[in-house]
Amino acid sequence: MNGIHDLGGMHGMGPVNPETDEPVFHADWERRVFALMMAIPGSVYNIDEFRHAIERMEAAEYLSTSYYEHWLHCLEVLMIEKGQFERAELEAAWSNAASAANGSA
Amino acid sequence: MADHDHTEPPSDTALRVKALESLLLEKGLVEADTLDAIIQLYEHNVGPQNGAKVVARAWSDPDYKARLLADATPAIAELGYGGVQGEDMVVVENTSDVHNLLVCTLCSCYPWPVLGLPPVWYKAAPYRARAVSEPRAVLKEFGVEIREGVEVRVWDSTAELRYMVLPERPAGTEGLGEDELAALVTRDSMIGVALVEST
Amino acid sequence: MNGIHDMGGMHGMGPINPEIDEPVFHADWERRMFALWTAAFAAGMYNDNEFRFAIESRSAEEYLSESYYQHWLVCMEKVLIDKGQFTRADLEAVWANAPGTGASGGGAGSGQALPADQVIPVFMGGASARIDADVAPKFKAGDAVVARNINPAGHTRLPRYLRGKGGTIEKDHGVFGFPDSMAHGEGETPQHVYCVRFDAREVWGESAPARDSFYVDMWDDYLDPA
Repeated sequence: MNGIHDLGGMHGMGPVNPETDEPVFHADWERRVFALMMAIPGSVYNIDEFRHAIERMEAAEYLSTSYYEHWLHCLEVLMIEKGQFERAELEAAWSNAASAANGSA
Repeated sequence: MADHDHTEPPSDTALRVKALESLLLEKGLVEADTLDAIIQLYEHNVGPQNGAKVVARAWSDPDYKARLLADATPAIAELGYGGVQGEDMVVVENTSDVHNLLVCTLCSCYPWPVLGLPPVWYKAAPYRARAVSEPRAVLKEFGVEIREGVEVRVWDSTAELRYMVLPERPAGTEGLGEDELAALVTRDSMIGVALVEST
Repeated sequence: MNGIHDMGGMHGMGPINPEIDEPVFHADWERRMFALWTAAFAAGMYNDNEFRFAIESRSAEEYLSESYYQHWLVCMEKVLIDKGQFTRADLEAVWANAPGTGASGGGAGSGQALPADQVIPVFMGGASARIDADVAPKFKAGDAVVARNINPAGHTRLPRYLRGKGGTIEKDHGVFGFPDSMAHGEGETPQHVYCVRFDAREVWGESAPARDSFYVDMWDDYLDPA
């Protein structure tokens, strides 16, 4: 698809801004997302489906979220599309995580 | 830290506009009465009712229609319309063989003197991206289905020519006068995303 | 520039979502913004090409997520500062006073402001972009042409989806100024503008309907003979 991801040749994207001594992961959640992605069995989805899920992200969201946020978005979308869990179950998990975070203060 | 401190603009857009307005007034670059006159003109006076009259005249008068299709700017001026963002007009006719659709993929070019200011959807990413790559799907979303044998022509307004569609006159309107015909003509039909209905 | 604004043919943009009975302006600030921009434009503070380029230069995220008149607001601030009409410090001063920022009334003026009684004549009269210059056309109706594969970093009106595509000259519209130079203060470079017809299949391949077409206005400098 001619999506926002197809950035080859685009202008106006700004400077490259490499980070000196960049760590492998910038936050613990990135580490967890990476691990989740690697751990899910290859029978659930293939790399092409994964890439296409990223390509289908809403354009402004694609540009304004980070690499591992894209992975997180796609994990959620693909798991639902593949029938691994339902949106309602994901929302319940969000709610539980929020309560646990508040409760542990 | 940055080597010079930048004050952030107000997050409330309305306040930010007010600030700009006050600065421009203070510098004498704009006048308050002028701003009010501009608003009156484009919010209330100029609009698709103008284009509808042009269409109704073209449907009623074959000589006028011929002039309109040959050289739209003076023909539209005969009805008293013209000006900014319409100084060089082209009118394109829908027929049983050709359906025309207008877009500006690069920004929002639109024939202000005959249609007024463009709606949000015309200026937004989905229409601008898709009107050129899948015009028939876009038309279907607007409720218009064009059969395969008809050519869909998409006009992308890249230069300073401004376009308007002359929609097909619906059947069953033979006895109607110009005013009644004009009342049938919608803005969307003059962009090409709608057909004119007889009622 | 190959910016996000050049979106003809992009996928993933979603449904069109027209608003029924959409008002001309959705908020009072939009109405004011339109009037400010129009008044400044009519007073000659910037040309269309410069302003379009300012909008094209917004970051892609801002471009996609902010509204139409928000683009006008941010770009008008920037262009007027670039043109020396006021400074960033002037603007920050009014922001700081923003609550209850009221117009202090017309200032001494710089003689540039468009008077209210000129609104109808100026806007109903308009100012055509046509240029009265004796420039020879490179093409005529019926000629086969190819849109150049140019990728200028500055302003252009040659959309990416048409670059390298073959078409036919339908009509010569006459001589106009060239946006690629006018947007950057490099003069008018007057040249002919043509209506060019492209077959849909030439642009999108065999999946496009056989009969469909594009009609797009192109300057001499965008075209080569086929």
